[in-house]
Amino acid sequence: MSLTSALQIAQNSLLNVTRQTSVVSRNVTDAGNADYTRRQGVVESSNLGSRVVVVRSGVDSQLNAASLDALSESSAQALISNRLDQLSISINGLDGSTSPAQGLTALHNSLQAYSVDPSNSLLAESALQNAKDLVTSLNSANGSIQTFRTSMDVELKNEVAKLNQLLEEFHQVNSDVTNGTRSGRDVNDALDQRDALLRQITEIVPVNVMTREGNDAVLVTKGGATLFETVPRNVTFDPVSIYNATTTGNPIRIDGVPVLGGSGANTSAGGTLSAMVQLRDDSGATIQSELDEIARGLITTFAETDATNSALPPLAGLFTYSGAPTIPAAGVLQTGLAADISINAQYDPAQGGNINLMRDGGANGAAYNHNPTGAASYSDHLISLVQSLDGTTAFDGQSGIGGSMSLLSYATQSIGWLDGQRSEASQAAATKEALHVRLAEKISNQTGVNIDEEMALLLQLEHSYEASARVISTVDEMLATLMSVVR
Amino acid sequence: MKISQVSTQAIYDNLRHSMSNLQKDFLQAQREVNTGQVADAGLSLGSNNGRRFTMLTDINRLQSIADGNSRTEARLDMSISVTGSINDVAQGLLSTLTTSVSDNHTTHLASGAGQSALDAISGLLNTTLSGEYIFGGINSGEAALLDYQSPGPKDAVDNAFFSHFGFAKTDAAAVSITAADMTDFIDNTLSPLFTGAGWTSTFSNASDETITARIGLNEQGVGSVSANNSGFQNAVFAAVIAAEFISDDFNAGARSAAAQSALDLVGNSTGQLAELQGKTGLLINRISQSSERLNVQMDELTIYSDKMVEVDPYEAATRLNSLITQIETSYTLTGRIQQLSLMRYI
Repeated sequence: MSLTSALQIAQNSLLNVTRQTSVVSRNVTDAGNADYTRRQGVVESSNLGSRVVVVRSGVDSQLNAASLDALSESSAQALISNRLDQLSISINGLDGSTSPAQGLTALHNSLQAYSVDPSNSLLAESALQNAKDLVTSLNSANGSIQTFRTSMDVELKNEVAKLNQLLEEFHQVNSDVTNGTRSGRDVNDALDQRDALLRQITEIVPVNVMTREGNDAVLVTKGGATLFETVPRNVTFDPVSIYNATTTGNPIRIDGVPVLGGSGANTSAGGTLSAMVQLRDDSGATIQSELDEIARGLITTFAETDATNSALPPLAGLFTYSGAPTIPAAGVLQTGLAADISINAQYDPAQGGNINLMRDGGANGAAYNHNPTGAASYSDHLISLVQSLDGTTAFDGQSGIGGSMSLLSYATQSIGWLDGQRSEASQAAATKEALHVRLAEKISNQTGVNIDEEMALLLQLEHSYEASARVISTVDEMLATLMSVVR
Repeated sequence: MKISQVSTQAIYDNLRHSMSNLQKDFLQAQREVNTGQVADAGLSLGSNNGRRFTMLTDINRLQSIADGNSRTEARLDMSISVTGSINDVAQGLLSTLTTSVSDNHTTHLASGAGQSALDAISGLLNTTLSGEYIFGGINSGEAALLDYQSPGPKDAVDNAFFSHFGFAKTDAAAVSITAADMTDFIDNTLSPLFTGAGWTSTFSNASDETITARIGLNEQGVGSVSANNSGFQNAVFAAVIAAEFISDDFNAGARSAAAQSALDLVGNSTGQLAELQGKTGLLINRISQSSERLNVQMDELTIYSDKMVEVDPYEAATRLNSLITQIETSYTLTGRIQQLSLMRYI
């Protein structure tokens, strides 16, 4: 060993310290960047002294996969919970205030008042008005659902465009990573970027990540479709511009494989795409069919019956639809009825009808008139109408709520059904978000920067720099002493 | 080697998350303290909210039935008092007729009393309650009792007389009608006009069918009294006899026989009217009992449905207080943690 080599080593050390300091400074700068992974300046020994290699903090791959899953599940669940709340407000109003059940109750009450005082034409008007309101509320609820489904399609289209864009960026960054790795460049920044993109993609569609030789990433969706391999695969979707009750939405295809919607309020869906498909095709359609069943129940309940005991079939009365005068088949869901239901013009004075038909019946001919003499206080028909609201009807199980019950209890159950879904979805959203937050925190703890730690490291580096500088100056003094002796 | 590390980002994120959660809970707790009910019934009850809605709509519907019941009670109450007044008229007629039977010189009194009783009864039977003839049965749109004077039931009475005797009441031959003839005429020719189809085609527009009222969810009751009741028929019959056939056109025997018939009829009538009042009272009683049941039911349902969304005010207040403490602590912590940096010490 010589003084010269001591000087060389000290110089090398100065170089290492400055490089490590630059790593620390980079870490501190990016301490607030969630996508940044902490770098570490690791000193490696070699026969010419030591050198600093920059290493990116690794993360447990299982933890990472779990965190990505939690992210996609949480984003799906949050979307479902949020949209169900919206649907509930637009259909049932605040605490059920504009629900069909409320409309039915109002109709019941005005009919009851009318039945007590059948000669009072004001009461007849008010009952007719309530019937009209009920029809309007069913029609507009039906409209809300179809608007909702249309808006889901618009959102889906945006999400698909965003996903394609993200995949394109992913493609570029992935090329940077593979090229850089091959030529031995520092690819850490590109890796950070790729992870950030991956998280954004996962929010839209859940993926499995496989890393191949040369740091090349392959993305496969949980559904098994290849999303990215060397080049991005096509995600295609054809939105429907106007929905009605019978419209079926188009599927989203990733590399030709359709994305399936999730099921259940605590959804099995991961990623926003799957959640939106579920809302559009499953939740939307179920609520639609409940409204259709309420409409069918109304037409059936208020159907005019034979007054002559000659076994004539019941025919559409106060509430009618395009298939009138025959009433819809019993116990079978008829899709689109909530949009189709209307007030029979024969009952409505505003449309040239006779309001007394409500009291007597007879829109379908004299055989259906229960009060042929036109007695002003005839109440039996009204009473039987009011009481039939409590009578049991068979409802189609396809609509989420099935079985035999009264129209009124079906309508209240329908509120209960939606609230049940909301409640379940909201609880699940809280749980899934908590899991996601917890896992993200864990990963952040593994890969993030702690400024205090960096500061401590900086102190250490400062000292090591001082020491190396001292070595240089000492060697310099020693060399000077040596020189002066020689002179 | 490090055992565990905490990233600065995680510390701040954690604070942010717990703060936003606390504030969300705080809003909810505040609303619960203010209203005494859960903030969002749908979210907290889930599918049970359907059951709550069933109760709420039931309360609403029961209320409408109870409201209707009070309307029906008002109609029946009025019917009772009007029936009472008709009974009073019949009683007055009864006392006048009693004197007529024994004293032949008071005939003009009887006929006047008969006429005014007839007017009073038809006025009373045509009582309306907000445009509805309460004695009309279901046919409440028309006056229950037709105006007696010509062209009215009087023509039918005169025709009956003519067809029985072959001459009009004002004919000189009327004086020769015997007491037996008079009784025969009243019992066999005149009487059918005051019962059944004769009554409804001559005197009354009312229908036999009375208004049915729904007085409970699955309970129906009679909601009106018809003018086609024998009490009213007999009272009118007696008044018509007094007005028409106790006159100087007839001999004393015939007059006396007519007065006797009228007396019997009005006697029957007062009994029947009293009975009708009693029966109507029973109807009212039944309705008010039903209303009472409805009220009890509504109270019960209100209690249960309120209970479903009720929050314990003490629990909610305590929760709110502890949330406030937590949020304050969280603020303090945020401040402290931000101070907690090595930078301050080197």
